[in-house]
Amino acid sequence: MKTIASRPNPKGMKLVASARFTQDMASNLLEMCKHLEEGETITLELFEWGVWGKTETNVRLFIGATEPLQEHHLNRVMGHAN
Amino acid sequence: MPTDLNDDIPERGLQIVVVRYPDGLSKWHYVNDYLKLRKTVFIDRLDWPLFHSSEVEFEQYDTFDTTYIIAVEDGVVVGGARLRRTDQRSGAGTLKYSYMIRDACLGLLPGLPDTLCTQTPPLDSDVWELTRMVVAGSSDVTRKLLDATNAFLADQGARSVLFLGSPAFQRMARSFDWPAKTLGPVTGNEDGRFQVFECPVSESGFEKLSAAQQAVE
Repeated sequence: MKTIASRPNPKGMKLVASARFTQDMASNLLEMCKHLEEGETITLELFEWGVWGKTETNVRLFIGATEPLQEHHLNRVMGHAN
Repeated sequence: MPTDLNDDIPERGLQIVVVRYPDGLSKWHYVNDYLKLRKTVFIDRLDWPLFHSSEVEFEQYDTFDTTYIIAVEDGVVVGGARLRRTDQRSGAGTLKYSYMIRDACLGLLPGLPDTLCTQTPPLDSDVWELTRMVVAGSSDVTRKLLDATNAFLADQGARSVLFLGSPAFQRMARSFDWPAKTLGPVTGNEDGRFQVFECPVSESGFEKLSAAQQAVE
């Protein structure tokens, strides 16, 4: 009998986004969390290149990247406004 | 003083505001308006190949340790620039980005030539970099932005500031009595011609700075 732990993606759960993080990228994210207002959240923005953190008050900071920037990454309209 | 991050900004007239994270969080709306202005100018008008969303232009150098010098006229952002100390790392991860001019010279930035400077740009706590300067107003806005930049950098103990701009920047800087020397040739790509400049920082401002330079030449 299969268990949930034996399935990488339990039925009904679809992986929609992932990002590799280094330790210092996590530190950057924690640094942003330190300055949140009570109840405020951070949205992680995973672009074709790099990870950004964005607060509810539109503070967007570059968290880091684990792959080289390539020319084809540029001149693309990102998925989120503001 | 423009370097006081806690000053209240009057709603009328031209003011320069300095914003950095996290001290300037209460003024971050000015940074967002500055990023919108960058998008209007660099993406919508000049069609440069840069990161952007539908409203703002941003990149890896808009991050922790970045300082923004922003011109606000009657409550509206009419100009701004981005400052980074050259010994700081930009972002994190497996790649070591520092600042735009150096990263371009190291071949890390596609789209920018690696021949911007005749020597590898420094990692020096006394040297800063100014990029993404944009003005939607008179030359008075430009002058006040540069004046505030000089004052801020003097307050930080900086020795000089590097610019990546059009070849005309040197002429403009000199017209403001700010002596700019070139660090590399005029280069460019399909988006235009540009050059790297270094300007000294002076606690006494442009005019006295220029006089002091002439006295020793």
